[in-house]
Amino acid sequence: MCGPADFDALQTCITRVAELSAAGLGSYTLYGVTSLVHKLRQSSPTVLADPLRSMPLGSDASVLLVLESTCHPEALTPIQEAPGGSRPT
Amino acid sequence: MVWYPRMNLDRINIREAMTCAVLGAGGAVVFQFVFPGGAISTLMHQVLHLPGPGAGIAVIIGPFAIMIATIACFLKPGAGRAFIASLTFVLMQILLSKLLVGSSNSKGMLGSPLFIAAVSIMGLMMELSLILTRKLGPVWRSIIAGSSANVALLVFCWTVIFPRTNGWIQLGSIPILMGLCLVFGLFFGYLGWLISRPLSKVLAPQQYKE
Repeated sequence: MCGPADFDALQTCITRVAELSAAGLGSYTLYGVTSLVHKLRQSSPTVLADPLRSMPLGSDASVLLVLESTCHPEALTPIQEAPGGSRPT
Repeated sequence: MVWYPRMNLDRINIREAMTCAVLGAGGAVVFQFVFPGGAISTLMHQVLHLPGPGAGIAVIIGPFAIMIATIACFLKPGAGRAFIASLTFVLMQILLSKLLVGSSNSKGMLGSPLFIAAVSIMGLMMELSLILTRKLGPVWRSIIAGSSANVALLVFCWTVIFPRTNGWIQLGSIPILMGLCLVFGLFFGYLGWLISRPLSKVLAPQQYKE
């Protein structure tokens, strides 16, 4: 219809398509594995040294410590009487 | 961690245009290597017994050019990429056909000026589809652009090229060839998008967003 049949060319074509597809699939698998490893490395958990963060969220101790340390730091230190009887401001 | 490029009408610079041109030329070299002369015609008509003319355009030549153009489009946002890649693809085809005598398509259509026009129209159709579907995700955009561009190429060949070389298409052959054209166009559009994802990290790393 469009030209003489050439089965040798077709055989060469199929072989090359198979080779190229295998190379492409191999490259794509390599890319997928590399991306996965990169993603896993980025999302690995970091160790927190802050003791407040290591407490269970919402526990009384953690809430109390957060309030005391951020809002009223003076509450953590004992209030001492001044020598004249007046309290320090 | 998925990159969703948005096609807009940004101008592309010389370097980006050269990247698209190299992609198109490289695609033509791969095409010439994979499909030696006579292979497409034998596969379409002797093995698969598909009607013609246009089976090779709908199933192999068009989808391959679409895959190259889709890769060029999704490397970075910007208009004109599909057109440049398509044009260099077909020009490199002509050059290779002249250099490697006997390995070109037996119909001689691949090197004709009308085929340059056909592939250019295919590239323009892809540009238009990508602009019209810019609100959609990249997968939908790639398959819509691929299928519409393949249909544009096949219709142009049926109406302009084949009447001069092989004659008009028979009405009974249109449904099966049009169906194959749509299916292969959308599949190779999607394949082009898949290939563009790793390539975009290499060729256009600044566009890759975490």
